[in-house]
Amino acid sequence: MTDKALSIIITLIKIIIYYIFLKCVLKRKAEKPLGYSLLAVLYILEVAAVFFLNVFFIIKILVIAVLEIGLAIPVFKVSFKKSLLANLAFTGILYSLEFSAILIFDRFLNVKGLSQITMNTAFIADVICYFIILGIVFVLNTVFRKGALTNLDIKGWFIFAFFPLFTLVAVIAIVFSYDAQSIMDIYYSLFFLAVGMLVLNILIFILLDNVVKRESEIREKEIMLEQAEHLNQMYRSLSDEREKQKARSHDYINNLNVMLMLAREGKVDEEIRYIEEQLGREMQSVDVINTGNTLINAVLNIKYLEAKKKGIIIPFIADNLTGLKISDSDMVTILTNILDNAIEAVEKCDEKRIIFKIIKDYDSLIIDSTNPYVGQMPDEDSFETTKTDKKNHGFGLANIKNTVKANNGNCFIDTKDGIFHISIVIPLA
Amino acid sequence: MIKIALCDDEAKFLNLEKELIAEYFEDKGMSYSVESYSSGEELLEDEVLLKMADLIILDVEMKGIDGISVAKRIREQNDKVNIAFLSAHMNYSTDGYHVRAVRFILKTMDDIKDYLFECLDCVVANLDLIDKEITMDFSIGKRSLKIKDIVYLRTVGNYTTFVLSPDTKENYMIRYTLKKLTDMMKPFDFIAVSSNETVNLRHIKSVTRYMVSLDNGEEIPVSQKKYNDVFRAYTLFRGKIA
Repeated sequence: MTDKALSIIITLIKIIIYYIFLKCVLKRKAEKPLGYSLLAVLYILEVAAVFFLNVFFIIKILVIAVLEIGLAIPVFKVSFKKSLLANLAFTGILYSLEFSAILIFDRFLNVKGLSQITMNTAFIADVICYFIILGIVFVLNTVFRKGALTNLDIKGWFIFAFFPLFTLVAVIAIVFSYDAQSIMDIYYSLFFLAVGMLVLNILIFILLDNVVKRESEIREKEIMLEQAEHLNQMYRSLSDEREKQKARSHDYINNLNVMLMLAREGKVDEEIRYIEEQLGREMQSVDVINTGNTLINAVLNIKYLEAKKKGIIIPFIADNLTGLKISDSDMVTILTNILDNAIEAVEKCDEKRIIFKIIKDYDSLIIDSTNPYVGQMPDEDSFETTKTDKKNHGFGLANIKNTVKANNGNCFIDTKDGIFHISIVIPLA
Repeated sequence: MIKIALCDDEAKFLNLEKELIAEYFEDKGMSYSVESYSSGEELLEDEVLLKMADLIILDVEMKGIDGISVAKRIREQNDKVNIAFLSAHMNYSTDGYHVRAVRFILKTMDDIKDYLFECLDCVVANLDLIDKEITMDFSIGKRSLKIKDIVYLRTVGNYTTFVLSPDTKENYMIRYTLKKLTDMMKPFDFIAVSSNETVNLRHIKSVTRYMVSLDNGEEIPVSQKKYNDVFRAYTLFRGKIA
């Protein structure tokens, strides 16, 4: 195989990695089919430049740079400035890596008195450089994509890093375990092995990238489902309440009839007993907490009953909350998450109390909850659930914080002396 | 000693409440006194008690004047007393809450004990905090200061000066670094707003970038570095006491 054929393959790899690099740095995708055809054009022109301008080294570099910068503009629909900067970064990383790789190779092989294969070592150096760039691209990609970094656990990082690192080590090990003559003999098979591994790495990179992306999509979907479920629960309870109300109105007429009858017959004692009985029943069926806001009432009353079953008391401190402009789903998300977290934490404690406030103060709504806890509670920075049963508990604090943020509010957490304290302020104006 | 007034027109509950209060304070080994009244009118006649009481517990659904109206009348005379309501419902949808009740105590047989005890815990803690004092060797001699009266601390040369409200016209200076004092006062809800001042969170009216307004009318600059900490502490504190 000639050097020209090697150039064709190396250039192809370079274009692919350049594309991945730009995609992640510019956070954009090429548009089909225009973007891809332009990339093909770039590839052909670059190969041509390599073939015909190889003697004029500086001119070759400049032409390639102009091609790459110029064509990236329509492919990614970015400004010249951005394209230039991205290209400078890419070329900078590439050349510095290439240069050091060649230097290292040269030095190593020269020591063994094998300087005659310098030309070919350049290709191996190239391949190694692309691996390193791929690693850099991956790190950039992970850091730049919002939330991706938090989604990737240690296992994920290990898998991601393992393939390129292993390949790199393997290639270097293979190269140095042969002497110069045998390297010349197996040069092309070695080269194809390296290229094959590079391709494998790219594929695995794309695959893992997709997995991470999908995972974060699934997470988002789960959060949405959870919110919908909470909201549904509230609406169900409200419509149940309405049904009960209807039944009660019906009973009311019956009760009046019974009382009238007892009164007419002069059975005062029986009438009193009857009224007391009815009163007791009525008292039980009425909501425990009333803030004047139907939805908030629904949430707080459901949570009151839930807590009561577990022997937890919640002295609610509230205000008249009619006319709040926060959306139903946001309100339900914030309240249910706070109370669910608190109930779950308090269950394990001796002192089963949650002090919950939802009040208006000047021009803001304050939601504040304190409860004791044992073991681990999430701290402010993580805002991630520490619960193992993620599926049912959702993403509690992160969810609260996002919702509060969306309403221009602030949310702070304090965990001190076994007391968990969350305080939320949402401007009402 | 904590002085409690109890007002409920149902004799059965009134006795239960008295028993529970006795149980609570005897358990804690604290001294207390309870005066009970069977109607709002009766309670309102006892003007001496209204001025002296630390906690007044009012049944909401009473014959004659209801608990909420009684509370409003009490507030006209005594702005500071703790008021708690007894009711089967925590009803905040009416104006009741504007009397700044500490708690609604759920008045049902299976809830009343827990909710009453929680309310007493809260009131006892509040009273404790209000009277909390620190004693220090100031340059003018050994003095005790109520925590709630200290507005902020400020560095003056090698000394730290205490700014009080109401102003006593006395110069409370002490040869401690502000940093040391800040660490000492942290458990009492003080926060450093800059390297020169540490503020009592109780006296902050608002926090903006980069200034805190105090209830004595002063404004103190907040250092950019400390702004987030100050805003966080202020929000948490406001939520806690609200």
